[in-house]
Amino acid sequence: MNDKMLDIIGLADEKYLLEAEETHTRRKIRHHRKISAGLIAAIVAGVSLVSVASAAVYKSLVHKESVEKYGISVDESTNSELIIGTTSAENAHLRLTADTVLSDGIKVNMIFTLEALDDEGKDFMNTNNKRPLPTMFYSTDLSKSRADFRNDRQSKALNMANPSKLSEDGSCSFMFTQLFTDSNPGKIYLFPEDYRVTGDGASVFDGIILEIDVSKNIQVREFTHSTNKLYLSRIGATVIKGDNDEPLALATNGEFSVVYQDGTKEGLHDSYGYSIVQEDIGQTFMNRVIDLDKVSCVIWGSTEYK
Amino acid sequence: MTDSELIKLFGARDERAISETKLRYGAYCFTVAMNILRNSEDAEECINDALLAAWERIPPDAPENMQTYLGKLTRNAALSIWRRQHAGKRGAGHIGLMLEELSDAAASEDALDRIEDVMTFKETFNRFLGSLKKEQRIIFLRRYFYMQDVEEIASALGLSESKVKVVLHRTRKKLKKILESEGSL
Repeated sequence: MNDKMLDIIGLADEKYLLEAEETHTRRKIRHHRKISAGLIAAIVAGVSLVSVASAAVYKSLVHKESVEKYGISVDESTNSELIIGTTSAENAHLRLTADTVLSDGIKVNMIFTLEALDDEGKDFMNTNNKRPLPTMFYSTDLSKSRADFRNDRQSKALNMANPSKLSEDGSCSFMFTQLFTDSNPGKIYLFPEDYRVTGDGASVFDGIILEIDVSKNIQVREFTHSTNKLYLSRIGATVIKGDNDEPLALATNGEFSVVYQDGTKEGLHDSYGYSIVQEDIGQTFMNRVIDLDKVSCVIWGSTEYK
Repeated sequence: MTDSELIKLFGARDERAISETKLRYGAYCFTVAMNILRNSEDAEECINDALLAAWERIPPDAPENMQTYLGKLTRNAALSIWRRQHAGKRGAGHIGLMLEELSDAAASEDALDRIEDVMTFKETFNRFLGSLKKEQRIIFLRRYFYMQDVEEIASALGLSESKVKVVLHRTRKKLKKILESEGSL
């Protein structure tokens, strides 16, 4: 079979590829439109500093290092906000631990550690050139089974995962970020899956379900431009277009800066993480901690939000 | 690290360019490669090939958008691996299915056999993409550039699978018409 057409299609201009990549969450955005008022209310309700979980007892250095590996700076003053707690689940083969769950009510940034408990687990840990990358599904409905997820691709929730190489003790950490554009679900269930398994086959992850509280647990500040709202937290920014005719004018590689109360400006281009930009919403993760209380305005694209 | 900082590292022939690029875009490249190869070890090999290609091309290349640039390199590397693995085989799984779709409607096998240099199609093909409605274009590229399943595209765009299939069918026909009218095939 002649495959030259694949080469011709490979000649597509990058501007078209960028367009195709940036629109992959349209289904959720559409849904978001319907409930944005409720969503905004949920965010605004916690615009002041949200108290850090009192049970911030997890102090693993391994975790701190894994956070820093992804460019999130951790110092003593912010440590307590970044390390929220831990939850884990295991079967005979693997143990999956959610070390950190940071949520601003829309976006969630999680860091996990995966450990092998037997040979089958070790076999999985050695896949992907020793950077195991489980597929992750999430649901607010615990009654969903793995088969449901396999048959319902809409539940697939893996947006970004950067597996680190296996450490000497055989464990591996990776970051998982998920955008929630519908509503603050409070609690979700995460179903890891072995991507090598299809149909009804047994998975090395069978029995592992993580229940995770994704309620807002970090500070969010609100900025405005016209009727547009920008919500800034330590994990990222979300812009929601208001009732006006002005385009949002965002670009994933455009300007993204904060101006502090003393007039200094800090470009956060290098802080861009996973981003989506749509006509009526823009979201980006950041990988640098900034002092939210000192921010006087945010510049994203060609627009200043005060 | 920003794209421009990465490009500076490549320009200075600093080997950190490879590790930093992999750190920033490794997961993205892995996804692109997995869509084609469906095997994690092959995908990992493909990422290394793509990073090596970037090392060889930057400079003189100075990509405006590192992600899409790497996406193209990764796709090319993945297709090379796929071709190596499936030389002489017919069918060849999900890529074979995709080729059947394309050869049925977009261009005949004979016409494709006559092509000596696919680069001659660059302008025509991008004019074709520019003539499409945005939604059509996105669906077409997701299917045939990124090689996503129809169900995955439907899920991501909030459309029914049948709607995606219809759009793909019409777009392939339009591509065929443009290529034929310009005497390209």
